[in-house]
Amino acid sequence: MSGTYDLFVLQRAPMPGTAGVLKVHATMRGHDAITSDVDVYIVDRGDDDAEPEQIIDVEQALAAVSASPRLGLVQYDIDDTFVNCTFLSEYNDGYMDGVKLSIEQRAFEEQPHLRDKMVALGRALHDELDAVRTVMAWGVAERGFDWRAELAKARGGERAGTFDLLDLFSPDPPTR
Amino acid sequence: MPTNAKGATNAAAASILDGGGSGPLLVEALTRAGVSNRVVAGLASGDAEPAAVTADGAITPPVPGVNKTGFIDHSDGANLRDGPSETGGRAVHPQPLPPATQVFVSGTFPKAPEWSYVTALLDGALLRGYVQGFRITTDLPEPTAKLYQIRGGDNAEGLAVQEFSTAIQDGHDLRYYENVLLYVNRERRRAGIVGQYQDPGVFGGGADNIQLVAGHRIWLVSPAYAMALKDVVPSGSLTGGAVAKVKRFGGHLQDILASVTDSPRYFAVVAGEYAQAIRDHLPEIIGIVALFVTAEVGSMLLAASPTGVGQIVALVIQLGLAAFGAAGLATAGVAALKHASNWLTLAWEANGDEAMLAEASKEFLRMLVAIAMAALAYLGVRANVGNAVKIANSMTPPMPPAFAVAGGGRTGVGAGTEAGTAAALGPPTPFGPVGNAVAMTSEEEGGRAGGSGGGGSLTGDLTAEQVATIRRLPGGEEWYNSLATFSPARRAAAIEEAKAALDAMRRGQPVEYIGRTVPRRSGKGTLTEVDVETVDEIIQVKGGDYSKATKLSGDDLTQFNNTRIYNEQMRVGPDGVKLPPKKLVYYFTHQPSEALVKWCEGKGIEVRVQAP
Repeated sequence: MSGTYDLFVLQRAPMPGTAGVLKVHATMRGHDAITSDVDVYIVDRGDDDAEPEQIIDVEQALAAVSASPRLGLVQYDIDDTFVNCTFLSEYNDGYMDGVKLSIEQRAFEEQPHLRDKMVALGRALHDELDAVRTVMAWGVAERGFDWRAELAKARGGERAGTFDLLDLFSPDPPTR
Repeated sequence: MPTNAKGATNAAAASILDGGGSGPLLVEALTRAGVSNRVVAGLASGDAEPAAVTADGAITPPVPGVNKTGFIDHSDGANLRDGPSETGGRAVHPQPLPPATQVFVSGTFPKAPEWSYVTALLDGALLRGYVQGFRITTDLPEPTAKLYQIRGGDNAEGLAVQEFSTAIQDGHDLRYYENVLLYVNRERRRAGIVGQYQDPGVFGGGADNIQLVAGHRIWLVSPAYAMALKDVVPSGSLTGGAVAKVKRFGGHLQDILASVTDSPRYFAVVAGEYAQAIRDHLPEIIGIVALFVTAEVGSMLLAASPTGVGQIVALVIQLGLAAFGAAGLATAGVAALKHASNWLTLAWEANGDEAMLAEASKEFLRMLVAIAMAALAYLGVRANVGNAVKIANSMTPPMPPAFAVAGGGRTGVGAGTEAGTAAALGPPTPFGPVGNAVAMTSEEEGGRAGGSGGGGSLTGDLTAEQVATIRRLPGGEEWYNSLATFSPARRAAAIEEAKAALDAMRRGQPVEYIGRTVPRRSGKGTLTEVDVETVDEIIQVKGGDYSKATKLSGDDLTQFNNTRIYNEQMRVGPDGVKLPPKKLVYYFTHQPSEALVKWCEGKGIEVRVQAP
């Protein structure tokens, strides 16, 4: 099936969309996301009636997503491979509760180094967003991972499921 | 005509390599099965024995009963010999086994118990023979621990990053894992690591106060074991509960090894006419299987639930075939698969229960019998065996003292190599570290293909004929080879792609490709992926629950857009002229909502739903 490898990063607490989007963008930029080949950012605001937009300027792309209560999806590029970055808002209220990154399966499988990069990126996002749960595996979304339900569980201290590529759970604030 | 297996092998190989029969197939099969070039070359020259084989082609069988995983623990390494040097034993490998090489100790030399019989993995080759016992340690802190030779420039933090970076969590940072290294090696009185525990809040020390001593060796434990120590290391309090928890670590792996090493007790009730033959070679077979299980798949067996059992079963059978001299045989039949699967499942579920472990041992033996029978049939010596003739006498040598492991993957043994970990499997690749898990065609009624055993069939409910059909398609061989490397969920998805292709063929659509990656216009990178492309259709297969979706969104929507770009703008003929778009088909494995169907149709997508 035309599935994807999915990375979900679920935050301990929501943050304003603008701040969250920029934080994710900065983290991705620090992990080789967005190469010089990318000249168009495809933005899907998650609106049932709206077609994805193609926006040339990255700032505009991020602003477009931040301005949408549902937030939405921006397509990035890592090593010539599309990485869909979906900003998640639990109540579609403009606050960001997490982020989901997806890569098409064959591109991921044919480039073993992408696994390491995505895992490193996942760890970095986990830290930057103060995430409570970060998971990565094939077809997480396709197999019925309800991120809103998982978010509630994780924030309640429950670790649900196991994931083979990345499986982080930080129920309490760092103690050090 | 040859009268024994070696002769049969040589004759067959010589004939084949001379151009007769299906020669290239055998050479390819041998190579793919992991038999080293040296062995293949030996077959070509009529000398089936690797150079390391002694003149009589045999190594004196050991006195069994040790059955422990160990490592070479001597700075000079250890020479591997066909017998004690005092009695004229000669080296079976030109160089000593390096310090920190992993071995499995099966037994000792008759009348010289200070010499241990070991099986070792070195540079992708499987070796066996005798080494001096004092050069080995079997005092492992946990079943998948590795001994590491410290080199100049190594430091505790670097080793912690190397070994544990995948396991770091809040509250357990690198300093915790450095403490684990210190704790584990202090317990074993290893001189290669010194200093004080890190983390001033807990242990009163400062940063970077754990040092390594070059030239010595220390234990590296698995990330899972390190986590299991969390109740021990931070507090230093060895409460009964904490100790018990740690001691139970790796229980599944220990049970599986026990089911292998205890199997000789059940010959009389299981092995029948093959009992004596297999008994004669069991120390070698146990050594090979046990080393494989601990060195290559140990981490899989530490999981909370058995994963990759199908691959393990396939590889154990492949090793068994190689051990019986039939490395080129890709199938051992359904009986071997069934018994292998039963063996692993029973041992996994035993949790120390003796009755279950006994049954597991019996299944292990039954698997060996099935493999032996298949090997003999393959080698063409079945008729020479007879009820009273031992397999042992039919094979010279019964197993070469050196042959390559499947895939020639990293084993993480020996000085100079990257420190081995139990997670030697690494990322899945078609010919990954544990080798290419040759999918075996079963002989079950109905001709279902795959038959990987306990972990579920590699090819699901596809028939052997269907699998063969898919493999003949462009992209089909890649599809097939990938199956063994996938997680069960990913594999199930790949099987759905095959079903979509078969469905298209039933509709009279010749399939042009299964699993196509579409490059971007620039030729660099990937635009999108197409599951099945036929002469007239581009088919994307959709699993998951679309019963409430009203449109494609998110990842599905971007994929749809990119698929449309490919279909409508990028397909050109050989003359460079743009080709007309094909029909775009979405093949859902579960019924989508009416709204989604309507949305798709509005976009020009034909919706198909997999027949129940």
